[in-house]
Amino acid sequence: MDLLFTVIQVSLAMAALSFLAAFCLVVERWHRNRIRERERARIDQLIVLGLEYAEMPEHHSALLQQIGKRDRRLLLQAFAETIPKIRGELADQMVELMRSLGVVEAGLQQLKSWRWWRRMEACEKLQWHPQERVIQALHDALDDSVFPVRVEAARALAAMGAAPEIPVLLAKLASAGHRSLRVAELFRTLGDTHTEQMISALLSNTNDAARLILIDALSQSTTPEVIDAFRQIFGTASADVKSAVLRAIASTQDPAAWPMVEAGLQDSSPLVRAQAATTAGSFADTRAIPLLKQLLHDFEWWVRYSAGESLTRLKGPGLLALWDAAAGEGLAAEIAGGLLREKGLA
Amino acid sequence: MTHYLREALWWTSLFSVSLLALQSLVYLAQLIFASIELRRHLLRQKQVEPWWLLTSNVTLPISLLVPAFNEEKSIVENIHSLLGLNYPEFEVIVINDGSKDNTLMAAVTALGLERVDRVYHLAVQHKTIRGLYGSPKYPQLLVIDKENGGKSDALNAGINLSRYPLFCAVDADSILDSNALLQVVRPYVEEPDLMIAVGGRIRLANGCKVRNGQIVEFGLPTNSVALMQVVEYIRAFLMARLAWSRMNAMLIISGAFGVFKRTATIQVGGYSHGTVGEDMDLVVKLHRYYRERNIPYTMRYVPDPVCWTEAPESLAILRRQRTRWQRGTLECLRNHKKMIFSPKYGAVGILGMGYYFLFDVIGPIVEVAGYILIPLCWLIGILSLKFFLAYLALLAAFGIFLSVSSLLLEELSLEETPSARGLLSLTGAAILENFGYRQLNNLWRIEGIWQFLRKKTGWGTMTRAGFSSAQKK
Repeated sequence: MDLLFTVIQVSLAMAALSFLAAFCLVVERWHRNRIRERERARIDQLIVLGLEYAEMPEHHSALLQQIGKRDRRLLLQAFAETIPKIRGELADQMVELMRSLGVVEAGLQQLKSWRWWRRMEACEKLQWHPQERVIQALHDALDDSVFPVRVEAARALAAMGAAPEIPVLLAKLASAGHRSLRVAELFRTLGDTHTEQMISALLSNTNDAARLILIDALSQSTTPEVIDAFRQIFGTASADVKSAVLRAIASTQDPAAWPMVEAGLQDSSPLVRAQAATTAGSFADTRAIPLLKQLLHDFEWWVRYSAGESLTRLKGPGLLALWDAAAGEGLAAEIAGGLLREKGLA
Repeated sequence: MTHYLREALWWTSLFSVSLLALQSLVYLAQLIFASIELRRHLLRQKQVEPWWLLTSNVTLPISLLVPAFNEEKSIVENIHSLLGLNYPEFEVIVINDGSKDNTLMAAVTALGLERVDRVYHLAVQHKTIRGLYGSPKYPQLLVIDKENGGKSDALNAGINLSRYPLFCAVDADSILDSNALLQVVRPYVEEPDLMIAVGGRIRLANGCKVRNGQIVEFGLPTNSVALMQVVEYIRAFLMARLAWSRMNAMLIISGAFGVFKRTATIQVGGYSHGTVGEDMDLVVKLHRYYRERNIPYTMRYVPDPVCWTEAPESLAILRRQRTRWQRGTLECLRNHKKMIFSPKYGAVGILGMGYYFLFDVIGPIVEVAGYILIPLCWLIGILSLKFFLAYLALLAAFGIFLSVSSLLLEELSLEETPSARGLLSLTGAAILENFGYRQLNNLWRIEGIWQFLRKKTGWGTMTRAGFSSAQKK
């Protein structure tokens, strides 16, 4: 039976291959550990050298003569380690030094790579070189077919202070199919500088993914304009968006936000009611007490719990309401009594 | 009569080799899927720094549930270690499951705990709670003292008392990496609507240097039984689970470390009582619930080493552990037998459950039968030499290929064994485990099947050396 012979041959060949691969890996690991040690020492030397020469632009050519081809690769590594740690003139000089070593050309070339992760890495490297052609190349990369490349290009542009308009960013990055922490982070960093654009996008966009990103970004600076925008979308928003808005306004005690809390406490979604109850507690507004007291009867345990917890945070009148509920019967009495015992107030 | 016996022997041998060949092909497919998934994971991971997750406010709060039974010696150190994890908002709920030693008193005395009250909703069933303990010094710590009801029961009590949307079940004798929660929460941040469970990778701490409840230096065990398990864990956790995760057919999230959506777990009734495979049972229940109702969902496996546990270093203890695992698998297959090979449950039924039924229940019996029958048939002339050699090739050569390949996969992508010497030891173990260790495991699995048929229950005694003592060696 030839099949049996094939099984023997294939199994033995695979075992032999794995032996060989394992042997190569052990040798490679041993060799690389040695090289790594040497390279680490050289990178440390180059960091010192780079910092020294960065302050002497007239001697850049002298440095170029001192370093070999291999050292240039290590110098890039040294640069990547150094540049986030330095500021001001020294950082500019360091960038200039890197430019004279041809980093920009290498990055732009890498941006054309057929491997998407290489293109992504190129975007990351190019963020330190805010030149016209780099900005243009990164804008082009926003149309890349691969999502992580688009995200990295947008981040690089934002880091250069050349971020595209918010609607453009939303169109490229905030599709429902893709979720990325990097996108949320990017919008947060733009929250302070692009507030107006974000508000306008929030009002005009009906896509939940985009709205959630914008609410998250805008929650960093809850100005009256932001509160007003939240108020405008609140009525028609989905439960997720309403909860996000309520979470965002929890830190502010702006009276303009109160109607949203009030509406949230009476919402049909338990998710929204529970979040609204929590937000009401952080508002320290006694107007919430009747509604919170009513929510102690809610059929959802988490809503009852959030309402009771908020009443304890409202101190005097809130606690009185809780004691009153605990003296009664049913679900409200159960949750109120339990919370009072938990807080040592029973 | 002799003719029929010879025919029976021949067909049994052929079945044994065919099943072995099929198993080898499935493992090969797992290896390929795992490689693809690992590559994707590494690229995803590169995109977010843990520090940003820590400060960004996008992470969901987590309740750590730590069932403890007779953990008097290590409980205080473990609680301190858990309280020191890097995560924005979490609570630690230790459940003393009616320990017979002084687990509760050790925690109460060392941490200055006092009796407290906490309101909770009895969403899942568990035995009576005798008392709750907390301390103003550690506001995020709660100790539950309850009647003994087993690990599932303890976890159910923890679920009821937890206050956060996610909970993480952790074994009291495990060590968590300080960034463990940040690593496993990523899938929940990326797919908040769909994600219901995330499993983390468990590695063996034998041989590693432990200080203040953290692994400070990676090392390999000097004990050969533990060393074989290192390779086995790499194969199981890196190759198999990653591949199942890629196909959304992952059936096990280790009881030592897994993060679940609280509401989803409550919907399926929490952990099942009276089972020793409560971790697998919960995951299968979740799959079943969501598939039967056509609700979109996903589960993911995170291949970063987030949890370290101690492997048994003696064959007797290892045997107890493996027979228990086998009983757990069988209990789960029995409880959800309608899912096995059922297309209604998609990849979970056909691939996941089918795999466990074929290779974890039938597989060991057929393989052990093959150890005896095939050489015998060859000796008495029923089988050709070529058949016998093909069997040996599949058993040993292909086995070596798979063990070494999973090691290569780990080292080429994650580089977790820094020294060449350590790598050499692991390669040796990957080869040698196919001669003796694998066969022993199959025998223990059959013993597990026997115990299951005889309705044996309970966990048995698991003696561990403890990280502190292991470190002194």
